[in-house]
Amino acid sequence: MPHILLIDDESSIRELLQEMLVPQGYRVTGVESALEASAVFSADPPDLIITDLQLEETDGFAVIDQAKAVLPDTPIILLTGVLFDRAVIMNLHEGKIAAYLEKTTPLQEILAEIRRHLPSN
Amino acid sequence: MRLSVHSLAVRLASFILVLSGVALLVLTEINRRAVERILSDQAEVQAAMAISAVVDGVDGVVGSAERLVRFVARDLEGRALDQTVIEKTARNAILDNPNIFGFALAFEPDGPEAIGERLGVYVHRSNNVSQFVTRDLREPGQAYWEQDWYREVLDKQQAVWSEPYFDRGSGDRDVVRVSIPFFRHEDDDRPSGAISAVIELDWLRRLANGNEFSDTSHVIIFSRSGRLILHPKATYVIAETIETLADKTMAPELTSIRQSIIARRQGSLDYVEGLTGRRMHVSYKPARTAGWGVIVGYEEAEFLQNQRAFRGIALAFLGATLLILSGIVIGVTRVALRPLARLAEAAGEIGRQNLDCEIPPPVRDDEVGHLTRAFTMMRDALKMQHQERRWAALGIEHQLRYNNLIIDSIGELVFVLTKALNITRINPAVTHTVGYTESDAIRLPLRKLVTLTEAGDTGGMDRLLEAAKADRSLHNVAATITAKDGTVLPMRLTLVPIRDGKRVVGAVVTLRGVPPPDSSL
Repeated sequence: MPHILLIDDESSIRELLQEMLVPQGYRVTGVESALEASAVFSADPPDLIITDLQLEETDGFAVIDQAKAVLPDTPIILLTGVLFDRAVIMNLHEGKIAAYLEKTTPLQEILAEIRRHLPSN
Repeated sequence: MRLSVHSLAVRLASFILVLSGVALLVLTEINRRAVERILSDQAEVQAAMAISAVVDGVDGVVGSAERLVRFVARDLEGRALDQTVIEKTARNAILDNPNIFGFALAFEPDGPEAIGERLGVYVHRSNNVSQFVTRDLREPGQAYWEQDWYREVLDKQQAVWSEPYFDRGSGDRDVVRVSIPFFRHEDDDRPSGAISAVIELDWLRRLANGNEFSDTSHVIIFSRSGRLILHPKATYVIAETIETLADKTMAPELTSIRQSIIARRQGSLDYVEGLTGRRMHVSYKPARTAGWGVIVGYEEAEFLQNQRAFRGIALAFLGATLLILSGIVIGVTRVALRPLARLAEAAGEIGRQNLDCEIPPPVRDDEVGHLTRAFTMMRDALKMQHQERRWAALGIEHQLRYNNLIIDSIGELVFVLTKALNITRINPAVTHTVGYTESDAIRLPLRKLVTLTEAGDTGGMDRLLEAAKADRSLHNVAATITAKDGTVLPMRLTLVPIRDGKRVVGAVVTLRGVPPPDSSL
């Protein structure tokens, strides 16, 4: 079963995404901090990472760099409520993030993006 | 699933039960009528055969008796007669004819040949079969010339059949007499005597018994006058007539039968015997001699009892079949509809916003299976929609909180204003710098706190109002703010209109503190 690591400091966000993804055939590990995420990188490497930008000790950019260092082939989706220009973000992180999604994006579009990078069984 | 009278299974079973029941009952009734018609026809044929046999039997015996008497009369024509001759003639007649109980010959003393004396004898069988009893009809007390049977024949000059009567003293039995006039010569114009045969009626009972074809079949014979000659109830014989029998049994149809017999008509009819309530069928036919009528009757129910018993069995079987059919329909329907009950429970759960409720997988590819699949799709769609709503709410909440955080983080004094420049929101810097809390400032006009101080400004808000309405920004305008404690602080004011599309809905004013003149050094 494909493994997704979900990094977000808001538990309600994590729970709702898990609620949507698990029935679709994904195994989801939800963490709230970069520290917990790095533990998962080595202990249970994910097939896809979804991360928020604003985290407690650090930010999503740092997490992306950290993940790419140990899991260079794992696609990362940046899912944030902080609005950026999509083109700017994609240029800044070229080769590092697979997609940039705002938290106002409908769940079905988020799911479609996830499936595009990680088809479920 | 609880079985209710309003359930589809029970209603369907009731519908099938009623329709099948009506159809089968109609078929059963049609079959019953056809079978009863066949059985009735068969019984009627048996009755017709029986009545023909009885009439033939009656005619055989009665007719032969009349022929015997005529034969004897002709045999005696022109012969010299005396008491011995006529007694011997009577004995021989009885000997040769077992159905003849008695034989009588009686003659006038003044006949054409001047017999000269009265002659009269009656010979009848005794109770011992082999013996005869001879009675001289001339003896006192007999006086045959005074007897009705004798006088009537001579008067009518034709054969006379008597009514049945009880022959008291001679045989003590029921008998009937046939008498014919005796003519000495063929061309005599008046009879010179009478010859008669007495027939006992027991043989009729044997004849009737021999032709009864069922338990309730019976034979009734009545005379020309309607008096009963034969009836299953022996006490009715002679004592009753067909009319009194009709009264006793409350069956007026019997009277009409007698009218038909008198008119020499045969036929059959059905009637209900009022006395017993039994439905009877009778065939009737006149005998060819003596004017008698013969009735053969039977109770219809006897012939239909087997069929009616079978009908009871058929109805019981029909009822049992319908009950079993109902059970099967209810069972099959309940099994077929069980998923519907589960779907109803699931619908209730969904109505209570439990979108994780279990919907059983479809087990058949029928309409219920399609409904189950559609129901599952509906639940999943609702669940998805519900998730989308929750996700949208979270996104909006997150965005709003983030925007507030940004505003609250600004060090300048921020006032969010309506189009009329009333305060709707302040940031924490306002509270920190001039002491106003949100509850102090909200809804206050900005002019209560802020005054424009540039040359030409009158201190009012006209310039700000005009700029906001004109969708124009003002930058770095000199102004003062009066703190909650009354202190007046110099500020630099910036106004930016808030546009919602092309429409100005308010404005944001930021105040930046003016550093003391010596601080720039």
